[in-house]
Amino acid sequence: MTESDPILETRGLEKYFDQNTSLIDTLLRREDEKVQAIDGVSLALHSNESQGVIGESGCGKTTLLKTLIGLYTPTGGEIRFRGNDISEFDRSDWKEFRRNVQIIFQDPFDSLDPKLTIREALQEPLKIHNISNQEERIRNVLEQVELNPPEKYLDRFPNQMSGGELQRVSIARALILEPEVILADEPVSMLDVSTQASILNLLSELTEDLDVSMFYISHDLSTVSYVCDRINVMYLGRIVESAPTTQLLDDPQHPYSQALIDAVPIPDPNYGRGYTSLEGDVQNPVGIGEGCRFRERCPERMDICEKTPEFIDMESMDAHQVACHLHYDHPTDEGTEDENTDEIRAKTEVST
Amino acid sequence: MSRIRYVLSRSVQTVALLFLILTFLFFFFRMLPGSYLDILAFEGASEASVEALREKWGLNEPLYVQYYRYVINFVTGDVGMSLQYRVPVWEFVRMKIFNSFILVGPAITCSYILGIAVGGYTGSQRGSKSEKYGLIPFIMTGSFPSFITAIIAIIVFAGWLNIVPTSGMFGFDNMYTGDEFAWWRAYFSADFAIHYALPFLTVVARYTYLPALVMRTNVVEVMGQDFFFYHRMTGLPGGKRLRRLINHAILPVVTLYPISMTRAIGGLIVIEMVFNWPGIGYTLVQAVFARDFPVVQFVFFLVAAFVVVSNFVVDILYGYIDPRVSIDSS
Amino acid sequence: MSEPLLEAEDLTIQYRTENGMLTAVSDASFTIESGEYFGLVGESGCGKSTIAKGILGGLDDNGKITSGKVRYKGTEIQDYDEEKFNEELRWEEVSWIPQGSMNSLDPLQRISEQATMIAQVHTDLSKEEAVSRIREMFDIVGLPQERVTDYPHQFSGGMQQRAIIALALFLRPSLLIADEPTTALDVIMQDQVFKYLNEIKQGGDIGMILITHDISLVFESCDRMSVMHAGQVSEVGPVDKIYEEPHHPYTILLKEAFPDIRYPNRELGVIEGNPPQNMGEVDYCTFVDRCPWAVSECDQHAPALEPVDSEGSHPVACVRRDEVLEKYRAENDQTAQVEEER
Repeated sequence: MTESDPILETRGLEKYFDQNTSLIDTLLRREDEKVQAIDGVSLALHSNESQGVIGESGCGKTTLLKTLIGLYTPTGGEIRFRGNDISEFDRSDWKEFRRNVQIIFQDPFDSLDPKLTIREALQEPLKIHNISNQEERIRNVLEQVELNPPEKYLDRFPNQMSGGELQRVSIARALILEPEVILADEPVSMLDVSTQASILNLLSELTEDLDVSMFYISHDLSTVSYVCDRINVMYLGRIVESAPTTQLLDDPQHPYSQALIDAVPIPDPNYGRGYTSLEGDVQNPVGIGEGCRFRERCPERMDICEKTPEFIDMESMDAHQVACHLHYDHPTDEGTEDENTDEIRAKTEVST
Repeated sequence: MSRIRYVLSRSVQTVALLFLILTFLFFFFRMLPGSYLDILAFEGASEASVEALREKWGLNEPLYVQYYRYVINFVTGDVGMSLQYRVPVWEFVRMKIFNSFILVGPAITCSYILGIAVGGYTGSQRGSKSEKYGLIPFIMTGSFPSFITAIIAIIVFAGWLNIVPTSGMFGFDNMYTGDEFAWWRAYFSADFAIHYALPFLTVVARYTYLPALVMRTNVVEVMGQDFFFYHRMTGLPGGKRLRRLINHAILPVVTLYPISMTRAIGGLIVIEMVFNWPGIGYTLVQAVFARDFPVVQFVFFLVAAFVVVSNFVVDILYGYIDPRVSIDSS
Repeated sequence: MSEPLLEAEDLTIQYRTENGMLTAVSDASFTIESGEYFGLVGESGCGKSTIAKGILGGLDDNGKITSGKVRYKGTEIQDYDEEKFNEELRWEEVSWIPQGSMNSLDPLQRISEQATMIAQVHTDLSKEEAVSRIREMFDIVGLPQERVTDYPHQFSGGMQQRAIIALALFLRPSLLIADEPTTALDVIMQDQVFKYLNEIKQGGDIGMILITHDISLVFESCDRMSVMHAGQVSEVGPVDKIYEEPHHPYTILLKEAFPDIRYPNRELGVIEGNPPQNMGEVDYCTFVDRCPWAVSECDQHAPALEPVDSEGSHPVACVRRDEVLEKYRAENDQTAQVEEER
């Protein structure tokens, strides 16, 4: 595996959930409507990289996280760790995987066992993977997350610590096995702003210093932008845009990314941002079918949006991918020349 | 639309279940050792006459034929013939059913009303003594086996205080009991009332603890909910908030009502025996001793049917009283 | 000069706990004018929600306004009993948007039923009139009118929040207390809600207290604001003044801690330590252990809220109110950094 190969990647990943069907439905041969929680997601995380996955509730980011860590089995597509398909893993492969792919959860009070002391909580992963000199490692990792001196915290229980301190313990627990990848699910959303900053700083530093890659999943664009080099925007189970952070913020290509960025409040009374023009809520993901999933709310909607847009590389921009009919050429009905988007739009405008 | 589908499918399930119960009972009782004919023989009937009876009642036929006949008869209204008394089971049993229900029905209903009131009150007095200790008497009477409560009640009220008779449903001199047309008047007499009092109180004492406990817990829980606080902040006065509270807290209690009813019917045997109350419990015991299995079978079936049907009713009703219980997925 | 809509004067709210009297709010003072949107910013435990509940008489049983005054349209309300709150204040005059609305709507009542019930308690409106009003409000908050007869569980989280806003407004109160109204919502939904709140502000004479931990929301939507720390009011003033010239150390550092999506690489400011839990009388500045500019005086008495300008519109509770901002700017060369970002 070379330097440029991704450590963790997904190709066309799908995770569909079944709805409950009753006996009568089965007798009447009614199609069960699936919830397409993840539908064709392709991501590639390289070493020493932090990528964000951003989306609103219902976009599937939590399902994505759980599928990446192996809690859900994909219903389609594949996940590769170090180039190997994880569906072909045997027990020892899985153990190796688990050691190298760690997770940090949103609520530190929920994710740490309230009956274990901090020392015990940090020992647990070491015991599972049969790692020696535990005391030393525990001490080191607590120092890394800036819980100094470690002795002060080792014998405490979670309910004796603040949210910020506990989240550091969560991070320590993730780091103690020296993983290659960390998956972070909204790690700062339950913390106060003054604590958020220090945790975000910590996460940034760690990914740089320790050669750890990170997937950072959140709905908060501001914190994701701070920590991640690259951002993937997710909507109703699909990645609609993927780009380096500054490029995405400066020049978003997908209308949803644009709307999302425009809706973030700015801490400046003079900026005059202007409210979102987007109406309505996110659609119900049950039985959603084909076509661009954003078309119901998209200000740039065209007829062709009834077809699912492909996820393509932008020609004009580096390392920037988008799934939107506005940005690529489509074959015409005659099948000879390619229409470009202006021609398609012209067609749509004439007909309306 | 889906609600109607749900009702229909539950109805079909209920009928299927009843049918299954009927079948099970039929075969179960046929498999038990000891039949009425054995008792007859024991009491001295000749073998010939026993054999004649056996022939007459079709007991020589293979079981499945008997079963088929039984089912056909059942659904057309003929539930068999009492072996002891040579009268149709239904004739024999129907007044007994009435007597049992007239005891259990109002008693359980009262115990629920009482339980809800007491539970609701103690629950609303958070942290006070009444919340902690208020239910103790009900838990006590609910924990004693009903025959102990019954006997104590008899000793105290009928024995020492002598204000009620010790047993029976009617006195010997009740003028209406034998009357063919005015029999129902007997149930409105003072005589009936004083005979009714003790068994009624015993059942109430025995079953009140359940709705009381559940109600108390629910009240405490609802009072801690965000929406309850919101009601207060919208300026709702105490009386209206109480109504909202009751509406919420009462829902789980309602589902327990048929369960208590069926338990009471099950426990009725004991109470009826102690008080000599001529209901189906009493009848059942008698019929078992006499190996009168058509009667036994039918009474068993009745009780089982009651459980099944009342659960069905509650299932359906609950979907109407609690809007969150959605039968369709919207 | 008409009287202010709401006035808090040296307000102190305490809770009786096993360990003694916990002081949730200490000597808080601020005013809100009619038709003004006022932001109350602070982190968890700073007392902002407590003030909201205190104004409407919704404190827990062990909580009490132990000193100070609250005046609504000139009348003192801090000693009102439950009945008086119901009659005089709640809903017709002052309404409330709770945090996390999913649990605040009565699950057994249709929205229209709940609205009718509230209307009949406070007004003479008939059932039809009440329903018609709530339908109007649904329209304003962007919900389909027909859905007033739905039950809460039939709405999504964002729609429930908007239904709650509709309920808060349909009796046309003069003051709306919004306690973290959008914390549980996604960013686009949050923006929609603030769009409606802004329209409502243009439309009528309604004031709002916006309680939040997100200073951006206050900067964007409010006219005046106050910053609170561990029960004490640190600073009060017009939003642009506080933005351009924050004088309290906490305000200065708090602004730094918020990410700004325009400058994603700007390093976020960190505030050391945690807010203290105050027991008994608070005769010190609660920020003292976290403040980089603290001096010995800060520990000896609670700093008074005194203005830093001549008009008195910008009170700050810091003994070093006149020097901190300069010191901070000198230390950070802030202007240069902002220029660089642009």
